[in-house]
Amino acid sequence: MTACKGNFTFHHVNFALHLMPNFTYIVMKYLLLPKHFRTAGWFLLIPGLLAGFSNYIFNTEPEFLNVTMFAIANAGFYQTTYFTLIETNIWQELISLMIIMGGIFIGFSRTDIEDEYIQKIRLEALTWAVYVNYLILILAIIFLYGFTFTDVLVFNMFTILLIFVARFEWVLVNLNRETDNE
Amino acid sequence: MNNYVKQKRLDLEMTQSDLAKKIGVSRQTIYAIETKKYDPSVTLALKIAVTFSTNVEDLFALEKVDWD
Repeated sequence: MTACKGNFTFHHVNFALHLMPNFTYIVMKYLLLPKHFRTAGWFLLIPGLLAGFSNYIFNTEPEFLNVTMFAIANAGFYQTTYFTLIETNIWQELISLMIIMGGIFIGFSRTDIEDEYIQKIRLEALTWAVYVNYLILILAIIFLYGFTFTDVLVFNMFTILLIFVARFEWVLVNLNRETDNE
Repeated sequence: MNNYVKQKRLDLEMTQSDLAKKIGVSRQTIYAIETKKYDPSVTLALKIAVTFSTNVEDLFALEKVDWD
């Protein structure tokens, strides 16, 4: 007993988890969001991607999004300022947040029946996405230069999440198709 | 790993959905186990065995490749 004093055992943690409200228990047990976040995720991701492609091609920003924002750091051409208020258009920031949050909501929300096999598929999809993303990045580092590479850096903020969501959903769709044919 | 889950399930005239509901997993998981795409955890294997009123060893068997 003396050797165990002050140590948290699995039973202590498991007991504590059962005392929490069901939502928190589910989140902590699986580190996943509730399943209705998946729908919200698609409503964020699809418009975010469309807006992102539109912004990349046409490079236009809605004027009503010119706002004052608090910047921890703001690097201009000649100087960098810290902890200041700046005038900026937040269209690109909104697009980025929509894509990132949409991707996270879709990829890390519980499915209808969340079990160990679905968790295995999710983990494999995440591993696969890391490999594919960094393979693409390695090739980009070797073969792309100048401002083209700047584009790569921007896209790289999203690609790992997008590849993960695409791979995860693809495997789930194929699995559902195989199961329905059984 | 070899398993006899499908045979046992059919002997008991259960569908994949029935079995999935009883042990709290998705039908896709049962399909994956029966087609040997997925080896269940100890907990899940025990749940299947209890549902079928049999032993785990009667349902699952190691193959030579599992030792590699």
